[in-house]
Amino acid sequence: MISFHTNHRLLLVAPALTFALLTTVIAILPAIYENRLYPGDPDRKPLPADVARGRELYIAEGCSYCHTQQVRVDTRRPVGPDGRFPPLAADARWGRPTTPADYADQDPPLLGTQRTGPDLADAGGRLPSPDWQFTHLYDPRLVVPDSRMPAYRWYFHTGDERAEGDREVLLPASVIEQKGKGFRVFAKRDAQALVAYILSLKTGTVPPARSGAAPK
Amino acid sequence: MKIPVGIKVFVDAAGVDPRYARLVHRYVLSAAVWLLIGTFAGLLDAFRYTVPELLELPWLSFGRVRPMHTAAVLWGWASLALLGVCVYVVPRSCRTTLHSLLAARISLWLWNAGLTLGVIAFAMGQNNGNQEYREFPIFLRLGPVPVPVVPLLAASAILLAWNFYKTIAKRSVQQIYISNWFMLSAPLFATVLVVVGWFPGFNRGNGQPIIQGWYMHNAVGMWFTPLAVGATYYTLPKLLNKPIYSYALGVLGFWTHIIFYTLIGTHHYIFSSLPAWLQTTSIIFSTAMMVPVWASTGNFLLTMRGERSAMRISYSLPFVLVGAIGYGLASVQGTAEAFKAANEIWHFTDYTVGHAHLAMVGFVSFLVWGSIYGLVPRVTGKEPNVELVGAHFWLSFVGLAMMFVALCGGGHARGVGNLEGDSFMEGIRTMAPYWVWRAVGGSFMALGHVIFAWNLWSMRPGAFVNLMQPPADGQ
Repeated sequence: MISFHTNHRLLLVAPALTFALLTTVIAILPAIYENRLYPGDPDRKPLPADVARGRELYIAEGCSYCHTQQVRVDTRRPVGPDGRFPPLAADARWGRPTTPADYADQDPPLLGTQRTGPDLADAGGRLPSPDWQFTHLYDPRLVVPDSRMPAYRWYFHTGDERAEGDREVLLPASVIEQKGKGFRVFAKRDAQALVAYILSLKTGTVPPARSGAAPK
Repeated sequence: MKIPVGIKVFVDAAGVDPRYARLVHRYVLSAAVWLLIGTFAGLLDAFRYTVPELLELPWLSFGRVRPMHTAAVLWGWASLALLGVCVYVVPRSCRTTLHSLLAARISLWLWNAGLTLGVIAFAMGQNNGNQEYREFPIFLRLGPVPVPVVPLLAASAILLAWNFYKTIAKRSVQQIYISNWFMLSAPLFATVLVVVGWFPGFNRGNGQPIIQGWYMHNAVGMWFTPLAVGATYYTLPKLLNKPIYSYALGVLGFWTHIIFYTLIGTHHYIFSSLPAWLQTTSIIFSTAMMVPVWASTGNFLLTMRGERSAMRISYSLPFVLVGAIGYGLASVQGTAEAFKAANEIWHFTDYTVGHAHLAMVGFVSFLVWGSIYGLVPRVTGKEPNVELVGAHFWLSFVGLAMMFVALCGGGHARGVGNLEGDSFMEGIRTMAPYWVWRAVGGSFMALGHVIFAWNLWSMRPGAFVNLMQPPADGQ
């Protein structure tokens, strides 16, 4: 007889077991299945050292709390001539919809759940200039006046503080006008890594094949 | 007619073991400290939406403070406060004493130690891949030395589950009251959450968002919700001195909760690259979730029906009333957000942040405050200043309302703008005034939390409790 209100052993086991079983069905098995279905590129090379370091910094600074890497797909509309569903109307500006194969080689992928700042799935494709990225990282409001992004000034040296391995940032004319000719900014190694990572984020127009192989 | 509450509380607390009184109070006091840390972390980031240059310190930058805020209020404040209420409710409703005071004390300090190390990890830029609500790294790396973080929290939860189980096992009444169903299960659910959430195998590729959606949803739904609902099933009848409206509704709520909540996770990834069947399942069960929600909310509201005079003289019942309604509203809103037509507008905007605050403050925190103000004096023998409790109530209520309207209103406006083809920066300018109001609302709440912490301090076990002889039955 089922007697949860008097049998504490049953009450200990049954709810927890129900939760664990449902979790297996709704989360664990689908996750394992999905990773088998999209195993990633078998010939994948490890990320270049600076891109890998940049990804670490992206996570350390919590960039995903404001930046998604996820362009949503509208499965309610008819498929286009390429046989794929179009992006969600609100997301079309960020490029083609991201697919499972896009995330296959990422551990963990950085989809994000909030888009206070722009989506970065195709950041390298949209804004390929490293100097723009450096200037923006140093002080976003120098290039985007209404930006709310934090300024990551500690990733840079200014003036005569330049150190070994620094890279001088080619500031846009508007910034030099604003700050004066003597204003110089040098990106430290970590800033270079972070920008290398951001520029590596490119989706192109065609998603990778299910196997993870690059599109032809 | 004014019931002399003070005398009732004094009589209740008269026979309490002073060590037990101190233990309960330390749980909730620790929780209040984490609430202050979490609130001011949140407030700092809230003001940065208006003044991005505020406090430019590398280890307190926006993205490092964000997980400090959520971890401190979720795993610090709400968790410890609810566990403190459990430490009170489990033995009392079983008419026995807590199985082990020492084990409960160890659990408290393990939990506090894990949280402290976890927050240090965030400041150092160490987190578990920005995966929301499971950012604590398994190990904090101090130079070459790995210091456990998540294992401390897990050990604490397992030790507490064992402690509650042993307490329930030696109960002096035959029946196990419904509160204990929730309170015994929640630490076990948490154990499943920790094991699956930090297991390395499937947290990669397109499998990761499946686990992340499940984790995010159930960290709230299978930990805070059962604990807060379980606490209210005890506190509300106790404060009103009458049985709960329907015990059967409570049982229905318990089982449907476990089944429906578990299947909803993917509704955080509608229109994503996740399998369509998972998205559809999550939308269907987001609707089914209304069953356990209204079983509990309805049960609480029907228990409170016709109790206006009690509501007027009690300083704890108004918190329970707001919390019960908050549970219903937050859940209805959550269900609506899962529908595709709404998700298209609201997802990725501050609307979600407004929803999260309604759930964690308007539902969980208000119910916890009701339980703390209602129960802690019964164990410490000291009541807070009623005017200050009122100040806490109104500051929290008005502050939350401002924040909720600002975030959901602004999020909706920005979402509609996105669909109408606003440029990205137009969206930012749309949100700008709403972000100011959010920070103002947050400031009200922060002030309320400071007053709450003071009220809790004024309820600390006094010397007179120690003079009381423990009666034959211990607590």
